[in-house]
Amino acid sequence: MRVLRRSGHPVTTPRDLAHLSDEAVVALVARAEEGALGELYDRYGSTAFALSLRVLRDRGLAEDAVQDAFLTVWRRASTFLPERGRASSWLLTLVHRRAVDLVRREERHPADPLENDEGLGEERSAEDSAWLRFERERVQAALARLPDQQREVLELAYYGGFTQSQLAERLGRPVGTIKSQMFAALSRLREGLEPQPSEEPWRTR
Amino acid sequence: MHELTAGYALDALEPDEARAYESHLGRCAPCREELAELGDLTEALAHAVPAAAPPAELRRRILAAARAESRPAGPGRPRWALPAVGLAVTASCTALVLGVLAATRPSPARLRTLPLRGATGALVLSGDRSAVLIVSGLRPAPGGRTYEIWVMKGATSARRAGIFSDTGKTARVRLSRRVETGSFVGVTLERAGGVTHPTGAPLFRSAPA
Ligand SMILES: [Zn+2]
Repeated sequence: MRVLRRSGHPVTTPRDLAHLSDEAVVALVARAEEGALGELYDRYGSTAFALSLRVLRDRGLAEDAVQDAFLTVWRRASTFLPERGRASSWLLTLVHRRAVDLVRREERHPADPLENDEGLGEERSAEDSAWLRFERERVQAALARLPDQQREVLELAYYGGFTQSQLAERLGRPVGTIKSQMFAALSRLREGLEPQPSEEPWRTR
Repeated sequence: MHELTAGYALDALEPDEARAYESHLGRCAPCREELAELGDLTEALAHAVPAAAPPAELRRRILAAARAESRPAGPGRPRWALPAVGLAVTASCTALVLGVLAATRPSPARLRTLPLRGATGALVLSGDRSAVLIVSGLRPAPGGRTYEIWVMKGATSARRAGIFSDTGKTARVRLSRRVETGSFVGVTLERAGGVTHPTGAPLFRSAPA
C-alpha cells in the first residue's frame, strides 16, 4: 500500500482497498484507518483539486481547500450517512463548500468566471483516466444543452462562488428570478444527464 | 424553506439563509431527500471542470495532518445498507442507450468503446488502459448479492476489478484495474462484498480490448 511505503509509519494493516466501494472506504476512515484516507484521496484527489482550482483560481488556496475537506472527512467519517447520498458527493460537497468559503473570504471572485481561464486549461488530458474523461465529457455536453441564462446562473453560482443575491445584483435580475432559473437549470441538467434515446446507437470508434 | 434547496445544494445561499435552511433540514424529510438527489448533480458539476493535477506532496501532507490529529474512532455501527431487490438482468430496453458518448465532443486523446455481449452498454477505454463499464437495464443486485467485475484473459484468468450493486437506469462503474490488450471484461453476480474468484460464467462481457 502506497501510504505505508511512503510514510514509513505502519500504523494501519495493509489491505487491498481497491475493490471496496467508496462507502466502505469511508467506513474504514471512520475507524481511523489512514490507508483508507489515502485510498479516498487516490480516487478523488484530482477531481477535488480540479474543482477547488476552478473556484479559487489559485493553486495554493486550492490545495488548502482540498486538505481541509479531506481532514473533515477524517474527523467526521463516522457521521456519514449513506442514505443521504454517495460518499463521493459528500466529499466533493465538502471541497466545494470550503473553496467557496475561501473565495468569499478572499474576495477573489474573478471578473467573469466564464472567461479568464488562462493557465487553468486541461493539464494532462493524455493520461487522464477513462472515468474522469467520460464523466467530464458527459456533463459538459449536458451543460451545453441548457438555455444560456440558466447555464449562466448555474456556472456563476457553482464555479464562481456567487450567492443568489450577488447574482441578482450582478445580472440585474430579481432574486426570485435567479432562484427559479437555478432550480430550472438543475432540473434540466438532471434530464440532460439521462441517456438520450433518440441519439445514435453505440458505435465502436 | 423548500425553495432554498437548489441554492443550498450549490452553496449559493447567504450565510444566515444557509443556517436557517440547515435547521429546517433536520425537521423536513422531503427536503433531505431532494438535497440527496441534488448531490448527484453537484457531483456531476464537479466532474465537468478541466483536469488539473494536484502537487504530489499534497497527498503526503494530508495523511501527515490526519496522523497528527488524535481522533477517537467512530462507533462501529453499520453505515451502509444494500437495497434488497429482485432479479438480475432485465430484458434490454432498446432505446436506452445512450447518446452519452454520441453526444460528447470528440477529444484529442480518444476514448474507445467496446460493445457488450449479453447486456446493453459498453466498456469505455482510455489510452492509459483505465476503463469505465456502462450498462443499461440491469436490475439492482438482489439482497446479499453484488455484481462483480473481472478483467479476464483466456478461459482461466480472472482478476477482480470492482463491485457494484446500485444500477439505476444506466450504471457507470469505474474499474479498479486496467484492461490490457487481449483481455476482456466480464461481470458475475456474487455474494455481498465480492469474492476473489468468479463463481460462475459471466452474465455479460465485453469484446476483447
Ligand atoms: Zn423542507
